[in-house]
Amino acid sequence: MFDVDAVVSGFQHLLSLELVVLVLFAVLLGSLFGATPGLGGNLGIALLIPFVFGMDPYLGLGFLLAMHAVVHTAGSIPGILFAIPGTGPTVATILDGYPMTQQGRGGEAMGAQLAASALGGIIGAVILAMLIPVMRPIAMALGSGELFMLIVFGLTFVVVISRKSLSKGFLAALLGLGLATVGLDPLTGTGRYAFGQLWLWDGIHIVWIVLGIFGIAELINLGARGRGGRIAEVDVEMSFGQLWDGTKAVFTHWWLSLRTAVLGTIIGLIPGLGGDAATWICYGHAAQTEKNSENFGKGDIRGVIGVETANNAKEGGSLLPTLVFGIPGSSGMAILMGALLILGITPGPKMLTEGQDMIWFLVFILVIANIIGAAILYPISGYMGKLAFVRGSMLVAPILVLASAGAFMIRGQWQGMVVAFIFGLFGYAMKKWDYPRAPLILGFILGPLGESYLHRALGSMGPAFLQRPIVLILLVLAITSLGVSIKREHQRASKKQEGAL
Amino acid sequence: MKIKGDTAFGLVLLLVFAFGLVLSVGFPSKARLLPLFLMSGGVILSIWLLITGLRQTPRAMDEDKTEDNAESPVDEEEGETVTAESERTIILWIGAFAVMIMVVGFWVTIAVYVPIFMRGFGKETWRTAAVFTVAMWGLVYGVFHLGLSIPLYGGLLGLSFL
Repeated sequence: MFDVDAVVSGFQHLLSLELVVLVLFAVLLGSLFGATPGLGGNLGIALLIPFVFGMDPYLGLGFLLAMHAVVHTAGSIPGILFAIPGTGPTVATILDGYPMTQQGRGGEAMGAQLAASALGGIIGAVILAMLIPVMRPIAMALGSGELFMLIVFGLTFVVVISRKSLSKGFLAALLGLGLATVGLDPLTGTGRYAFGQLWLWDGIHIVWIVLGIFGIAELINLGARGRGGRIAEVDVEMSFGQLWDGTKAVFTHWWLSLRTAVLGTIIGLIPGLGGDAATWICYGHAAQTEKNSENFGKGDIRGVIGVETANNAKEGGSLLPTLVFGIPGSSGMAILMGALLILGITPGPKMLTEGQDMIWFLVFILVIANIIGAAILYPISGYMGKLAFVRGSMLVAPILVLASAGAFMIRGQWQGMVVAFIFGLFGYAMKKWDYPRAPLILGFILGPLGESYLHRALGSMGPAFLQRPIVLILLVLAITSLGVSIKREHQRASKKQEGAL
Repeated sequence: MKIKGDTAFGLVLLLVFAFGLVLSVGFPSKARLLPLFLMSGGVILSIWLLITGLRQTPRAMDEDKTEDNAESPVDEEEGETVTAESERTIILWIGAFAVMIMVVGFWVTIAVYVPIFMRGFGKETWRTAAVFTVAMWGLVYGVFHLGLSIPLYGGLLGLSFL
């Protein structure tokens, strides 16, 4: 079933001192980005993409994935200690983690969080590995028409990631799709929205947009919260005995850990669903299915375990559609997909035939990064939590320099910095007025792929490609997904209106 | 205040999509298919959002605000300290950084902007600001110039003297 050569080849790529050093560095950086509120993994990858430009693809991707894999592990630390989540998907950890800290059991929560994160990450990677042989025949059956429809299906997840406002989410996705059309049209060679500017012929680089709408926008948000005021002003004492008790609890509740890890991976497999959904669904699942669940939300360690296993497990799941179908499973994966393209790797079904060793290499990286991440964070978890004390004035200037350097270096064009700053303001406005930013990235990434597959499908089969069975199934799935989500949104809006009356 | 800002942003989006629509009409037929479709959709959705936004009653807005805050404790926490003035202040600071880096490039900007920012915005002591600036300048020099041998932008004045 498994391509043993690919497994061996993937493993062999790990045996390099350069990679070991890079992974260690990546884990440290990922922990820093995760534990510092307002930064997060997306910004981390966006900032570091320019540094891997021109690097060996295995080294570059290994570095970025290792960093991304541990972001949420560290992201829960300020959440547990100060009720300030380092990253979005770690918000659910606060529900039980912070009350545990208030009860003087912060160390126990931290131990459970670190062990559950590592275990979840490993289970997610194992499931990813098990799915590789299954995905191959599925992927081989997909032609341009099916892939186009799969992208349409992926775009319907705009509804799910739009959260507060469906229409705003659609508008953001349309904007992302529109921005992707800037530059030379691949079919006719016509300059679209290039305004006679040579630097726009290659289109707008995804790094410029991500640095702007996430990185610089979050810096504005951080700076707007106060003139250098500290984020948290509480102190927490922790002991290693507590850390150990928390670690043991993950294995005592092994059935819960396994269930939420599998569930998290499956949710990660669905493009666009995102990490927030995985953690909240798994938290709900734990609260619904566990016995004596009355303490959930009041400091129950099972609440921490359920969320944290899912949080890291979903990364394995979301990696698969990103690599095999070119459909990012999450916003982090969308940015990582940009890195894949920069490193000369085109995601798609061919990865299963010509690049399977790369997939195996990434599976190993996920496992190793999760283990190293937890091992590094155990002794320094208490100190990491102090990052919540870092003043805004200490963070804004260095990150501005780093963001500007990234925007400039990606193409060696100063215009990239201008674009990033403009999108920074734009991203802040989106954040402020509840326009979801992830759909913009989803649209920007999927737009050119969709256009390309559509032209190929029309070129080879004409409109008849719409009659192929898998195309029809995907079309029905897309319409159903859209319909159900819109209905749910409508029901939510109706409830809101009733409440207002 | 929120209604005004939201509406203004919606109007900006409408103008962006309308501009894109007008431009796309001039593209060759094969090249304009997708942009025309996307921009038309954007214009329609922007208008719809503007209308629904304007029709929303102040009471409904309050209810929205309450519910949104209940769903997202983080936003609530953030919202308590963010003021229009604090937003303007940080945007001006970041804008000044953007202008400086365009004109005088990275090396001068780090040396001049960082201490002024830390002193002016962060109210740090001159000593802390100086130590931080030297450390940051050294780090950027070490990583980019010595480590990666990547030339950083010297600005319109061409101050890439390193």
